[in-house]
Amino acid sequence: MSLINAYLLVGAILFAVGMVGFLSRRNLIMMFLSTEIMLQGVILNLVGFGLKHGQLAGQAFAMFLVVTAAVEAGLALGLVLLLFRRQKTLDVEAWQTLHG
Amino acid sequence: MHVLYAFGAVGAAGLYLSLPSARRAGRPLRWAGAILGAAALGAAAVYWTRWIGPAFGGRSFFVAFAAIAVIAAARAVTHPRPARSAMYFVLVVLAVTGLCVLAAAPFLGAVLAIVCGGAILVTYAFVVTLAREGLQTAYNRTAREPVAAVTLGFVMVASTLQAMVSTDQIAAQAPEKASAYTRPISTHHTKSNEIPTHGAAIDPAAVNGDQGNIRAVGGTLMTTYIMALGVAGVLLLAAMAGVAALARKRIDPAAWGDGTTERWKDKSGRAKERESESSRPDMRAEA
Repeated sequence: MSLINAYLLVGAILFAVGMVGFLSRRNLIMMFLSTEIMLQGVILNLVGFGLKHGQLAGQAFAMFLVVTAAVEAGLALGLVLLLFRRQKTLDVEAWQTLHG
Repeated sequence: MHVLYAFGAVGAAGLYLSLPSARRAGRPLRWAGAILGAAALGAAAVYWTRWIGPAFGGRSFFVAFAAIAVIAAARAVTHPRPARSAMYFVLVVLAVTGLCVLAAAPFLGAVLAIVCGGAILVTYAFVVTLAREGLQTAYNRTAREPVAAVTLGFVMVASTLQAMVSTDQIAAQAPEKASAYTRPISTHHTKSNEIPTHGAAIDPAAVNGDQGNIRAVGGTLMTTYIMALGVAGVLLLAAMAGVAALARKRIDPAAWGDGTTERWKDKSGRAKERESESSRPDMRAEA
């Protein structure tokens, strides 16, 4: 196992820990924080593969991933605030019966 | 059977014990979880350093940053208070920044620290303070299906590990077959395709060429990915417009009147709007 594989493994562990948080936490803010942790794992994967292939595409793509993470955080937290204003709770199970 | 799977299983058990649980009345076995997780991490680190041999001296920073990232991520995911979780998330970002610097990507590391550790964290801090919730809320103290979630995470890590081990075996057995896994796809920005990953430290010039990382990445973004850069700008603009539309205060259209300009000046209209919002039955019921 080389250093590249170690990068991939750390990235996979970060992704998995974030996925566990996303699936098991009930707070809306915590769920989106977990997706950010998953994105950190993906960035490590991209950097590791860029290192393996000796080119800059991985780093460039990671930049776009950072942009997407910022966009996602802004939009998601706007939505969270909107939902909190309606139900006065951040519990995701308060929204499991959606009725229009 | 690979021994790293056992480490992964122990780590998954530690993560499960650290998660807040309804069955244990909101009191997670945090110490047991921490001990199990630390045991798994330490065993994996020792195993890995034995695997790569004497190059451990140059890799101690990697092991330290990786351990900080994983521990902080686990703590961020399991902490019952969202504000503290955001702080642990900053620790994850800083550790990933260190790993990026070690991987000859200092510019990406700086971008991560500024954007993820700064801007995104401030957004989270705003929301945590705006959505004032009690500290003892039930939904922060209980997890939803922790066994299934932890099992799924362990299966994901194990399958990734299995894929890596099997490609390593392919590479060891048949070099010509393995070339599909190891061949560089495109080499036009680099000086050399062969990055020494065993033993010697990473040479930044092998990835970045002789012009420095910022110049190299900037050149790549401005030539090869100029179209994607424009699309990313449009995406940011659309997100800004979307957030502005989402965060706008809800105004009852019945209270608007006819003209769009008088809407803000008409005092009776605004009074009516406030009245209609406070008299909505669903808002009153939740309050």
